[in-house]
Amino acid sequence: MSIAELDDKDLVLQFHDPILKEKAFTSIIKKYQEKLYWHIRRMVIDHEDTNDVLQNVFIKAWKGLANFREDAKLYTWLYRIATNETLSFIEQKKKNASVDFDQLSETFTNKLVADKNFEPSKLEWKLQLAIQQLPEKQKIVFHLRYYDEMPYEEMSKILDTSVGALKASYHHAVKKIEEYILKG
Amino acid sequence: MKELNEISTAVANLPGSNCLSTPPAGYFSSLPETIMAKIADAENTQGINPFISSVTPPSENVPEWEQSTIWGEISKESPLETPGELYFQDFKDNVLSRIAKEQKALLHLETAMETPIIPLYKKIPQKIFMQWAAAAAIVILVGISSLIYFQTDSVPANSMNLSAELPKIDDQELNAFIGEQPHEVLTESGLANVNSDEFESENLFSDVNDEEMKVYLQQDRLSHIVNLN
Repeated sequence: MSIAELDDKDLVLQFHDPILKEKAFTSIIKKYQEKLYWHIRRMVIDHEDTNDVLQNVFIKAWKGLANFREDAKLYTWLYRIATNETLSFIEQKKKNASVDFDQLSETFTNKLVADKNFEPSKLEWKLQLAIQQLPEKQKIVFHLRYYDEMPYEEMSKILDTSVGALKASYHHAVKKIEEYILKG
Repeated sequence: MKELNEISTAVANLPGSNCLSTPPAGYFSSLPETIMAKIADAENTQGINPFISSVTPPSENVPEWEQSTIWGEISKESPLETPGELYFQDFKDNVLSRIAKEQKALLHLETAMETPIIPLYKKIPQKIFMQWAAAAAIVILVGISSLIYFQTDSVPANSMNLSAELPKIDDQELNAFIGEQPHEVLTESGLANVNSDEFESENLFSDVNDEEMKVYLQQDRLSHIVNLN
């Protein structure tokens, strides 16, 4: 079995071997880069910002993987790092620009509108614009559930929130989006 | 119906179920599972927060037909521009090179921290420092005083250097100058510097009688002997 075919548990074990450490970590990156990329990108919109955050995520993962508890799932742990890193990045942006939530939401909306493929008549774009109206944590819940189809139990571990609260949050998010789209 | 009207008239005014079409295929076969899942969800939600438990969450087991139709029309693929294929190919190398850089910097820092730092100067106790400062102040004071003292005794800066200037003066001018000076001046200060050839001593005693000279010398010798006795 090649190192690329190993499951998460084996990859973590390989990571603890100094000889195989780098290979194992490369496999981890290859396995999760696209998923994490889109998880971050949907939040920060801009590719460059996403790239910065994603790199920081993997660097933090490298530093923390030695102390990683094997009873937790690797992908849950990586999503947790990515979520925290993304929220910190957004918080930092707010501080640097001295803007409140509404202004930041406007910034993200403007970024969407500036996309060269933007077509306001398309439902996909309307959905993106609607998502930008949601509070940050509700956005994350919506993204994880809608796009990544993540079970609530996993989301609960990532976001440190009860399953019930997550379901309610998702429900509210869906309703708000629906309202936004139907309004036109 | 009364309760629903109090909460939302819009929902209460929605068309009744009799206008709905027949359920989709397979609905009944999956219904027990759906209901059990809903019960399980409700049990999980109850006790966390009464507000949350009152909200009907759209779980994964809620059939598609119960949700708004717009969701079926939206593609889950992101409309955002995707990065080029090379981005993901190079990404691992970028991350690994950054990790290597950070590790190198960390190693450098650790090495620097392990190297003992030798102080350039030992810390001097305040008492010794004060003693040295006082001694230095006295030395400086004495030095400045002696400098001022010797500067006042020395030749002024604007005075003429006689030995350097004398050869420049014409001999005739010099003779004329010496000739003009009174004899007292020559005997008191400048005699040693006057050439004997140029000094005509004979002229000085030419008008003195030999007898007078002998008497004077004898008297002078007697007074000298008296003084010795």
